[in-house]
This record gives sequence, structure tokens and C-alpha cells, in this order.
Amino acid sequence: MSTETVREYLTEEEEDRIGLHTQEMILNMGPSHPATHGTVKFTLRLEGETIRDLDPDIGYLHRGFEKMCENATYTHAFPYTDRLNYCSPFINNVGYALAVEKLLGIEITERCKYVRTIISELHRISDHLTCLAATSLELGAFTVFLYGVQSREEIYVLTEEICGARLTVSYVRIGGLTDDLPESFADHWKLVKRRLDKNLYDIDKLIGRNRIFIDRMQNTGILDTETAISYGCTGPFLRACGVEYDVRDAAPYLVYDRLDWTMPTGTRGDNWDRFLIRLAEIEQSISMIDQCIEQMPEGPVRIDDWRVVLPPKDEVYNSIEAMMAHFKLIMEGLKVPPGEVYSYTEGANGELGFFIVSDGSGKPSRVHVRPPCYHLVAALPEIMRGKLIQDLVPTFDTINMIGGEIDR
Amino acid sequence: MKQPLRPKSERAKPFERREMTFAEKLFYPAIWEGLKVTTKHLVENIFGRKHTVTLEYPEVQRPYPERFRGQHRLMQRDDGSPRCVACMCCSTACPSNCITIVAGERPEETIEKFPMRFEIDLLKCIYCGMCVEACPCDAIRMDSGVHPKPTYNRQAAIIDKEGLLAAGAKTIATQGGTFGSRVAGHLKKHI
Amino acid sequence: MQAYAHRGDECVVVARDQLVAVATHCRDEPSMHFDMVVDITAIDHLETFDEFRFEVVYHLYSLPHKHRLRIKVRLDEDDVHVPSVSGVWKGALWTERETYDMFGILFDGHPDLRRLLLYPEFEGHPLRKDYGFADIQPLVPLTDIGVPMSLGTPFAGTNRERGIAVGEGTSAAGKALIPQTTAFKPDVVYK
Ligand code: SF4
Ligand code: SF4
Repeated sequence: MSTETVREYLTEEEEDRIGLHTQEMILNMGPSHPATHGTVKFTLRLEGETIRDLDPDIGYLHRGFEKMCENATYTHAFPYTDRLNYCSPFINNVGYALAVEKLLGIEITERCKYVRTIISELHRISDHLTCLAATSLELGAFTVFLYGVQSREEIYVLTEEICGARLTVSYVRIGGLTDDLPESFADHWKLVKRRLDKNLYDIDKLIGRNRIFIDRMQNTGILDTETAISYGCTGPFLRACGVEYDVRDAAPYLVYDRLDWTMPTGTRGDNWDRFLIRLAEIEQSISMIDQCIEQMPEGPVRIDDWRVVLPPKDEVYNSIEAMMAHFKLIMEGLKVPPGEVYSYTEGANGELGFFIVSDGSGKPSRVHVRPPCYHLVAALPEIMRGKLIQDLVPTFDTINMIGGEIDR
Repeated sequence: MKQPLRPKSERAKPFERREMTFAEKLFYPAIWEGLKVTTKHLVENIFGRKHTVTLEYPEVQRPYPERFRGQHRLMQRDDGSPRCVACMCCSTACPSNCITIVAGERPEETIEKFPMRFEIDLLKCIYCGMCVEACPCDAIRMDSGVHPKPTYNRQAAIIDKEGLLAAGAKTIATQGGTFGSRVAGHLKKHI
Repeated sequence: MQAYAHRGDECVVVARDQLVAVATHCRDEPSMHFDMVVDITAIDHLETFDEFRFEVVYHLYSLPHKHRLRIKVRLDEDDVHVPSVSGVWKGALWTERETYDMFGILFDGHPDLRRLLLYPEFEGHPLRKDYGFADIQPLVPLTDIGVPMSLGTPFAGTNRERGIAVGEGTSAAGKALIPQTTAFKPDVVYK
């Protein structure tokens, strides 16, 4: 390779800095690369092993969530929200329901609030476990992956007991839930928790002080706080930078203000911080669920307004008013007054926002979702520019991009 | 330099990171710990199946929970005819439009309609359970506890009224319970 | 400038040429300190509009003050240019690209206004109300990648037998390309 060819690719300044003449290479990483789970493609401009530039190409899982919602009733959007962040469908369900309830201006029942908190936290655990497991797997800690996924599997079994499906839950409804928690929930949760505690302990033993693992994670994937904020990063990513921001704390919804929990924050904003924050948040979520089960009052889980929720089956079978309300709601769909709201909840990766515009008919005129990992992936080129290509793998893992959510 | 404005929260708890000790830097303690954990699991799994999480699948099967949303079935009246009154609630409530109902007229005075055709395309169905929620007559349910069967062609995945009714059962006259699964649990005794 | 609130969400409508000035002021004014643009999207008012058709919506959040603001810019149907705020908040880089992709709104001054979620050959902007729900896109012709699809190409033989030439799509965005020459024939034909 002659020097002339190199000149074409490198600026003088870069050449000086490196002092080594290499030719730039364009590398396509993904969309079916084992490390780019969630189907994303990176077009990397490499110089040796250093990333000069990075272009994440998303959209491989684009299904037109927003267009589909415009053509469905408000209730029909629930199955679509299940498929947004498929690691934590309950959180999406709850986020969407809260947005429509804000637009309707209704207040849900006490017990429903607690149940929604429980299921959100349950799936936050499962999402974090997925992230931890995948990170470990890609850095070679296969046992950690198995332990993490084993616990996640138990959470899925619990989810199945709650709503009848493991992943495609469709459990939450506007104004309440399809059903109360099953009676066996508390006992089953105790079992899951015991196994989870054991697995977390094992995970910590395996990689908590393991230098091979920590060397890959520590001081890699750092984004400075100012830029992270400017990019709109939220969630564990921003907390790892030391910013004390969590939607559950800044604008408490459901019952988060009544629970006793702490918000772990990091100091350096590197991958290891994000990893530890997720581990610590799992513990917080476990304690939150315990508190919720303790405090949870008895009572209905759906509001008593038959214009919004379906009447209980008892009444539908036996009274004509309920039957009529039932028919009206099913056939016409929920009528939402015109207006627009932006409602935000804390998803597993950050702020999950739903922007809903209603024109007063039975179908939303616009539903927009703000996926939390979208902004993190947008910041990825900034994080990785000038770093080594092998650092891309742990960084991408701790960002925890979820294909269904980012592509919508 | 001016300190940038940052949010403050009482809940925040920055965690400290412990630097590695010299021994930890040598890799060996971590390797030893890791081997201890995995060996413990190995021993536990060999002597005592209490902690084993895997199932020996075809012989041992995980029981499905009561609320499990499986293949649909149509419930029957006492005389074996479908409870369904072809009100179209389920097909309206279905987000994937996979229920096809053609209504027919019944000679009796009290119940005017019945489904002449009732088909569910299981390839389109997403098992969301909204049809069960929408049915005002407790005619359609998803508590059969079976997965949809794999088929050789697409036509076979569309189950018709007879197929749905064959999986169904009689329900008690007073339809009690609050919602799908409760009703199901309540009814298991009667089936 | 016009301001209103609905369900506790405050919203201001600003003129298009004022947008960047307003955004910069919102960010730099200490009492506002909107340091984060949470989201940018647009609304298409095709059915109801009289003066404007599109609204570009900016959601701002201030971390230290914990308050939110929605800024709207109203646009005519035939003049869909907005100044980009990507110089104010970097979070606008991708969200503006997505809004361009979905609505065809042009952000002047954006450094890299390409399609984000869809492929470059996509025709139209799907979230506009005049884009039909079931509209079908034309097939994208194969890109000539300079390498002949001959025996040297892996899988060439197998693909030829089935009559489908599969080309490695190496368009700018690298989306999988559908070959134009052969029509897609489903394996199973409904009887
Ligand atoms: S389960 Fe859902 S998709 Fe399937 S038939 Fe019922 S309503 Fe339709
Ligand atoms: S909702 Fe029930 S009664 Fe009505 S058509 Fe469907 S199955 Fe029949």
C-alpha cells in the first residue's frame, strides 16, 4: 500500500497523532451479528482497531406501531404495546394505560395502583436480568447468562400465572386490569424471590470481583454527563453518570412515593457503573414488590365507570344495563375527549413516554412512543468515536437496546 | 468553574467502587470463587433434584396455570348447541380480525340468532384474550389448556365451529364468576 | 405566540422563524433551564386543518427544575421547512431524522437528514394521514454490487434452482432487498 492511498483516507492531523499508517476500513457489523442482538447494523469506519465513526442503522424491526395504533381502538393498542419492549411488556402496558387515563382524566383504584406497581417492578427485574445476562454472555461469562436467564424464566412463569401468557401479556386495561392478581401470587413470588436472591448471589460471586470481566467493563463506554443530558439519555445510563434522575422519584406515579427505596447512582458513567446500577436496581425492585404486597389494600381493580371499563361479567350476564354498556363499549370503542397528553413512566432503560392525540373519536388520532433506548443508541457514535472496537460490545450491551422498542 | 445545575434527590445513593486488591489482580481468587459456585451447582444437581430447574420434558410437563390462554373453544348449551348468539362482539373486539361469524336465524322465539359459521384463524390469532373478555354469553373461552397444533397447511389452521364446539363443554346455567380464569376455575368441577 | 395547557401539560405555539431563538432561550435561561429535549415528533391534521396541516411537537424537560414544556410549530401543507434544533440539543439529531422519515418534514440545518427507520428507497411518508393503512411499496430493484452472481457466489446454485436470485443488498442503508425479477409465490395455495 502506497502512502498516497493512505493520504486519501486520513487527515494529516490524524496521521500525525497515530504515527502509524493504516488504511481505513468500512466494516458492517450486524444486523445478525451475535453482539447486535435486537437487530441493528453498525457501519463502522475503522482505522486499525479504533473506531473513527459509527453509524447505527435501526429499523429492521419496524412494524409501524404508530400507524397501527391510529387504525385501532384505544384498547386494541394493548397487544401492540406488549411488543414494544419485549423484555418488560408490563411496563409498556402500564405506561400506555396511564397515558390514556391522563387524557381521560380518571383516577384508578388504590389496589390497581399497587398491582400495577408490582407488575412493573417484576418486569423491571426481568429486563435488567436480560441485560445483565446478555452482557455477561457476550463477554464470555456463559454461566452468568444461564443463571440470569433461569431467574428470568421464573419471572415469566409468574407472569404466565398472572395473565395467561409469558410475553404477550395484554394484562392492563384502561381504567384497571383484566383481572386481579391470582391468589397464589404472594406465595409464588416468595419462591421466585428465593431463587432470584440465590442467583444474584452466585452472579456476584462469579463476576463481581473477576478481573477479566471488570477490565472489559471498567472505564469503557464513558459519556460525559453534559453530553448525555443533551442527547436526552435517561434511566440507568444517566444515573451511571451521577445524575439523580428517575421518573419514579422526580414525578412519582402509581404508588412510588409511598414506598421506601433508594436510587443507586454511579460516579464515572462507564459500563461497569451501569452494570452495577442494574444489579442494585434489581434489589430495590425486589424490596418494592415486598412492600407493595404488604401495603396492598383489598378492593376492586377496575374503576366503576362503565363508559371506560367493561362491566364485571356477573352484571353483564344478569342485568340489562351492564349488557348495554358492554355492547356499547365493545362496538364503539372507548370515546376519549379531544386533547393531547404526554405521559411518562420509568421504563427499564429510562423514560418511556407516550404522546397521544385524540380527536374525540374511538380511535387515537396519533400515538407516539418515546422509546428510552432510542436516545441511548443515538448517543452511541459519540461514545464510541475514537475507542476500540471491542469496547463496542459491552457498551452496546449495557445500553440495552431493545429492537422492538427502538424500531416500533 | 461554575458548577452545573443538577437534580437533587433524597433517594439517591451513590455507590462506592472498591479498587481491586493485589490478590484480586492476580485473577486466582476470582477463578477459585467461580469454580466453587459452579461445582456447588453441579453437586447439588447430581445429589438431590431439589434445585434442578430443568424438566425432562416429554415425561414431565409443567402444569399450565389456570389463566393460561390456549386454544379457543365454544361452550355448549344443555342440548349441545353452541351458547353463542352471534352477537359479533368477539369479532369486533379482536385486534387481528381473525374471527369470522355468519349468523343464522333460529326458529325459537327466545334466542333469535346462532352462528352458522364460526371460524378462527389460528395463524392470525395473537392469543390476547380480548374475545373472551368481550363475550357477553360466556360462549367463547381460551381455557382449554392446549396449544394450537401445528398444521401442514394454512387451511388446517382455521378451526371451524364443529372443531371449536368439540373442545367445548356445557356451562352451568347461572354464569357466575368475574372474569375468564375465575369462571374457568369455578367450572372445572362441572366439566 | 400562543400558550395553553391541557391536563397539566403546558404548551406554547411559536412561529417558525422564532423556534431556534426560543429553544436557545429555554435552554440557557436559568429559571427555565430546559437541558433535555425528550422527544420530537409531529402531528398531521389532514382531516381537520384549515390554516396549518402539520404541527411539529417538541417535548422539553428540565432536570434540575423538574418541569416540562411542549413547544409546537405549525406548518403549512406545501412549506414543510422547520429550522433544526440539533444545534441546541443533540437529542434532536435522531428524533428530527425520524420525523423527517415519517412525515417528510424538512429540518433546515440538520447535519444529516436521512431516513432513519425506513429504507432510502421508500416512497412517501407513512405517518401522514394521506398514506393509506394498507399501501404497498414498489419492489426495490437489485443494486449492482459489481460482483456477478455467478458460481463464485455462495448459495448461487441453490437459489437459482428455486428461481430466486438473492442479491446481497448493499444500498446505503443496507436493508434487505427484494428481487424485482421474480414474483413472490407462496408455498401453500388456498384451495
Ligand atoms: S385471542 Fe385475541 S386475536 Fe385471538 S381470536 Fe381472541 S381476540 Fe382475536
Ligand atoms: S361474543 Fe360470544 S356470543 Fe357474541 S359472537 Fe362472540 S362467541 Fe358468540
